[in-house]
Amino acid sequence: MPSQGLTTDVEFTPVWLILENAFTEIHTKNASKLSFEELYRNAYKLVLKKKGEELYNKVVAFERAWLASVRSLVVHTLSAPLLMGDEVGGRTLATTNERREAGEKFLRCLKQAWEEHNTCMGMLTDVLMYMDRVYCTDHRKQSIFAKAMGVFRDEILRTEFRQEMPVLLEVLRRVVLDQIQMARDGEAVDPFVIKSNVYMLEALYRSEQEVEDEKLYLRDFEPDFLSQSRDFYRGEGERLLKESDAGTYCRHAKRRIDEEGDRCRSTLSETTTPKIQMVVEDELIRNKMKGLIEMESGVAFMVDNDKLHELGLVFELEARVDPRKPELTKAIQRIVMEMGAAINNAAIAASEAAPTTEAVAPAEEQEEGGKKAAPAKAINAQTLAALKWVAEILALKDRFDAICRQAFASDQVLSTTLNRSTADVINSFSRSSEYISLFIDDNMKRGIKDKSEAEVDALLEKSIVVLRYVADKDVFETYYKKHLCKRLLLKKSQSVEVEKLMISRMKVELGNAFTGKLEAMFKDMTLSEELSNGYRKHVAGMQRDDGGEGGGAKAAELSIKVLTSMTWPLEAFRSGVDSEGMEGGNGKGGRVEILLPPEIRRVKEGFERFYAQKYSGRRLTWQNNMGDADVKARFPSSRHAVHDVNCSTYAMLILLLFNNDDNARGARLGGKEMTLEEIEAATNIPMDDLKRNLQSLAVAPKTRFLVKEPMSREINAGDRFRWNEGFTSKFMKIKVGVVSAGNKVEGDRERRETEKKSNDSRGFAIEAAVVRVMKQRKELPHAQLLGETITQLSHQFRPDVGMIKKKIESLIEREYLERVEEAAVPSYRYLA
Amino acid sequence: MAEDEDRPRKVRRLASSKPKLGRMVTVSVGTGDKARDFYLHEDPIIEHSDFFKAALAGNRWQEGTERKVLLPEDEPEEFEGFQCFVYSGLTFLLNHPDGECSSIVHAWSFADKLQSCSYKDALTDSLALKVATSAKTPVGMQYGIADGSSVSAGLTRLLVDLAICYWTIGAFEKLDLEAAPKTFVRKLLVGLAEDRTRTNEDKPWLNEDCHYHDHGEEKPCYKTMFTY
Repeated sequence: MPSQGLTTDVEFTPVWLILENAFTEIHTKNASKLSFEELYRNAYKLVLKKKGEELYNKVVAFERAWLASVRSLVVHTLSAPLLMGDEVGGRTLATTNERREAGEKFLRCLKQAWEEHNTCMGMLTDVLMYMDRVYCTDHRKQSIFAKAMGVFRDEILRTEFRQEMPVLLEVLRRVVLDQIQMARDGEAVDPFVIKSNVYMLEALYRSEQEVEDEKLYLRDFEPDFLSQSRDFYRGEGERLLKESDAGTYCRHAKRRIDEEGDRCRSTLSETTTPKIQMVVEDELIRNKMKGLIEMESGVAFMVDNDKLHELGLVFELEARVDPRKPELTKAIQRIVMEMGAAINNAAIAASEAAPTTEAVAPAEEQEEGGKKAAPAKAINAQTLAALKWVAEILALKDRFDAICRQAFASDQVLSTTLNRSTADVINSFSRSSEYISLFIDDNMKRGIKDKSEAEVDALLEKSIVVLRYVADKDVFETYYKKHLCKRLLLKKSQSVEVEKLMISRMKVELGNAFTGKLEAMFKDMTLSEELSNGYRKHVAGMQRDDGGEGGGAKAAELSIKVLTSMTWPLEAFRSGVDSEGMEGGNGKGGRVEILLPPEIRRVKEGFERFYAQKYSGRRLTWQNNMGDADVKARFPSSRHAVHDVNCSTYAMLILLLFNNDDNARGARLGGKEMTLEEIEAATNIPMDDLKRNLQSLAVAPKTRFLVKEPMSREINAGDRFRWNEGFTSKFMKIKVGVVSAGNKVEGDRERRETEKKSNDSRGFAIEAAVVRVMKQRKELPHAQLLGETITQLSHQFRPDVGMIKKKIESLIEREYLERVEEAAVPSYRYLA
Repeated sequence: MAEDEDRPRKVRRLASSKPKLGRMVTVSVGTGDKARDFYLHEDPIIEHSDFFKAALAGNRWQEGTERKVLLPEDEPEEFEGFQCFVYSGLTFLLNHPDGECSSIVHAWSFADKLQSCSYKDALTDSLALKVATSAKTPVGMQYGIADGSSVSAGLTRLLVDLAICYWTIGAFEKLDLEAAPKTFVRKLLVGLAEDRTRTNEDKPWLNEDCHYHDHGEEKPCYKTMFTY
């Protein structure tokens, strides 16, 4: 037997009355006494008997009537403070507190109506399950639940409840916006009741087609919320820029953004978070960033006063709206450039203030001699300027590195900007290469003394840091070579180990090509040491064999440096020449045969023979203008019987002229008197060098071994010299200063020379690069050739395009290249 | 539980996969002398019936608070069939006066009332299996379907397809248009029109797939629900 639902006919009305009755109970929260089975069975039967449509319509009508009564309950909660709203965003004459309480009352009532409706409709849906599944599905009707939600929207939110009054949806929007505004102004509002109403708006759709972006929240609330917020933050941002300082502004903006994010979580909808943050970011950051950075207490002020935390805030703010951080980047770049320019200008000013000649520091370089209190060595003011420049550049870099690390989270974009700006600062200073080399030079000579390994390491690192930014590495190389050459030959370097360390660091940083020549210099030094030792043994052996030919006591010892001619920038040693300094007389100066006294000549010839045995086919050129000599000297009235005098080779030759041969046990100066011209004739020393050495020997008070007539600072033609019998000194060891042997900033003329030289060598490098490129490519358009050449050379220097063009022309003339006539763009072909 | 060849029984199972049974519920079926009480586990019947799921949800209704469901207008035998299915995944059919096929249709109507998709589909499959293995052509089953039940239900579709394929002229002549559900008749006519293009090999009821099932995409097929 089939179930009765199929056999007995069903009257609609009595069954519906049962259901209607039960629905009323459900809406008044009395459902727990109801039998679900009975209600379900009744609805089921109506559907089986094809009364689904009737049932559906009855339920809708029931809900409509019910919700109309709920609406009047909600309307009842609308009190004066809410209804007095004028048109400008719900502001009323009532006090904030009254408005807030009235609003909350309304929101709570609406929330309750909504939540009860949901609960009841859940239960009705269960009862009407069979109708939903069979009738609604087969007839493509909205589910009863969805339909009832639409009824709620229409009956409660969209029905006009009083003439001339906005519908409840409009009231709700105003109240919520008002509450949010109160929250922004610091009032404590109840987030939960607002959130419940937002849930409602999110669950309801504008039309029966439940299209996702047609939610009431998205269409009827969010746009107003965003535009209200935009107005508010625009005003607030402008006010704050006027009234407070940048740090406060940043903190405030950050707080507002966080607040709005929190508000979306706690009060509104998470889906609004990105949108409202965008609005706040637009109004408080994007549109205000420039003003914020440039205000009096802006970024420049923060940098000046080390306000790292506030810089960090600015960074965070801008990073939030644009990963490229254009405003902050621009500002930082400008500040670095400004500070860098100040450093550069100060260095230029300092170097110009100091006289370019070395007249201020004549032969004052008396060193050692047991005298400890000699730190106040006169350093050329220009050298000081160079050291100061490097130190300041390093400080600048350190400072901004610290800012970048601590305030900008080591941001990639800003690090790049900093690096570029620092490089610009360094490269916009024409003497940067020279100054950096001088900085290293000074440290090698003095700075690293008494320093621990770690400190030395830090120093080397600093040098490399600055060096890294130099674009014209070739210019630096020229200077470094020159300075290194002097350090090595004049034994000024504190530690060869550290020198080598420096070179190996440069090798890592700049490559083998860069350090090749520098390393060769060290090799020469080592080889020379071996040679000297070998020669000493050789001489000792000969003396044993000969039984002291030429008198052993008189044989001078020789320590020699054999230098490969192309590797060493020996012209550096002409740098002592004053700017007016007789280039003509000195140009070939090195080539004039210096007249050596026999004992010295013997040594020289002996070594030449020794060297020729070891390396046949090599020619030695003696650089007498360099080198130094240890001489023992006796002065009758001095407190020491013998003085150890260290002086230049030339000074030794001069002193030897006055040597009293009678006393053969050691060099003792005799009573002969000679004029300047006589000395020149006797030695062949170039006049310029001669004058300077005589200045050391006869003018400088501590090493006045000779007496000059007439006594004056300058050495003039016709001056007469004789042994200073009355010389006395409390030091046993005396070093005769060599004027201008140290590394100093170049004079203008020298700089011109250096530039010319480096231009020449750049010319060769460019030609080589062009040929390399063309050899590989055979044929290449002009622009591409330029590009590749520049790339190839970029690790050495920034090539000048004009120069490249000139070199290409010259290569065409010399038939390495030819122009391709038929090409569309100017091109070249390589001629093998 | 019978051995299924496609699904060999494994005796070792993980504790985490043990069946959920829940509390006991009393279901009282029928009235008067015929009334009978059943005691079942809550979880399985909720899983297999949306009716029970709604009735027992929380303390909304009397059934929930009293842990007892009354089904006064149904027959204990039908409910027993449902109970057995819930615990076994198999259909145990009454020897109905009109034959086994009619009893399947009646059980299906009961399953429809309980909104047990799985039981409905299992019963539809049983009918298809029955037709496939017997020589007799079923004729009167359509009268057991209520007019208001779902048009697109699998059982209706199966009955229409069977009629098109097996009914003789005589069967059509004997069709009681008053008693037959209108949805069935309409579908039958549409089906006959379509059938003019259909080949004889195309008999979906011979395939053991979900062709006649009502579970759709959202619910699982009952075949996948019984893993014990």
